Amino acid sequence: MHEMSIAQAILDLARRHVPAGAVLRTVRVRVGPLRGIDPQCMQWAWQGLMAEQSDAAAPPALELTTLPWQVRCADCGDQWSPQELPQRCACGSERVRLIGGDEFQLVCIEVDEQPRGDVCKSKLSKTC
Amino acid sequence: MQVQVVQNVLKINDELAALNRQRLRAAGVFTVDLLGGPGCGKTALIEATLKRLVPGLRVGVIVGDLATQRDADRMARFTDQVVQVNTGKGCHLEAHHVMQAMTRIDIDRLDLLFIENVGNLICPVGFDLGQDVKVGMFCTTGGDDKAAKHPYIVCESSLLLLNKMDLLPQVPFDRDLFLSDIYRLKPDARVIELSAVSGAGLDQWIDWLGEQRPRRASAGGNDDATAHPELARK
Repeated sequence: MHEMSIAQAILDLARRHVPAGAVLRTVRVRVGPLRGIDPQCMQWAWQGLMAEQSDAAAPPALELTTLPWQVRCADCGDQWSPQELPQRCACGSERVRLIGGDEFQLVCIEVDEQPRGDVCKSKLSKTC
Repeated sequence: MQVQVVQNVLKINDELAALNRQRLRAAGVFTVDLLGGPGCGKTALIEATLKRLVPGLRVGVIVGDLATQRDADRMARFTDQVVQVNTGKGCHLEAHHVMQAMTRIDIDRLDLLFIENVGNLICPVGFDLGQDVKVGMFCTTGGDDKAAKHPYIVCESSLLLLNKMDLLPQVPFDRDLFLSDIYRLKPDARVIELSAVSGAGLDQWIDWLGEQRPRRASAGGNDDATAHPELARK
């Protein structure tokens, strides 16, 4: 299940960006459909990781946004963002080309600048 | 407080992969990451390739499986530069696996390195290992819908292989459908049909390796690919 190792990768990268003394609260990630990430599996993996690696009362949350496909018709030039990969364009052409869908970015993190007592033991804080 | 990041989620893996790539290219090693589902014939193809290229070419293999040394034992009949990586629960190899494995073979004395990934059509695709090329493998017994169902491997592979062509008459596999799915996803895809067991198509595969190797090595490696008759046939 690659969601587990990806959850770890997200956490490791997020921790790099936590300012000294701050506590990680939310991690925002966007993923394209080519990556084959199941959002529900991703959340389970994240929660499993938090159970294992965070003793904070409120471990950081993962907000995952799944992006649509990005396609372009090679005949009429139309571009659109369908939820499912289409077999053909509205013009009738079957030459529908992928122009995006492999995005996988850690967009931003939310942090609390003043750690509270209940999270001070968290391994997710750089100060603790 | 919000902190903007906008970085690839797999950035840390990519950083390690870049170190692997730097090390491999400095040593003049052409590296192939072979991906495919369990049982599609990855090990059989590497065995057949080793039979053809060794000892004229110095070839190493890093092979990933959840468990057992069986693949490494098979490869070890052809080369002593073999490392088995057992990932336990891990469904793919990551750059750190390869980095560790590289310390167990003599990189400086290799021309070609195969990394046989864990059998899986999904997870390994997104993880850069430091390879020069990713090669995606399908097989006729796996069903003609596998390319359509796994677009990422189709899009990300430099070459796609369709193995077990010798079994095509025995299985319900619509070759035209399979190929049209590939070209719909990737119009410029390169596909080689072969059989690792019968040897059909192996010449094309060996030729392709020979074409790729000097191309990549000329970026900074010490290219001697043409010194080997098998890879210099063209």
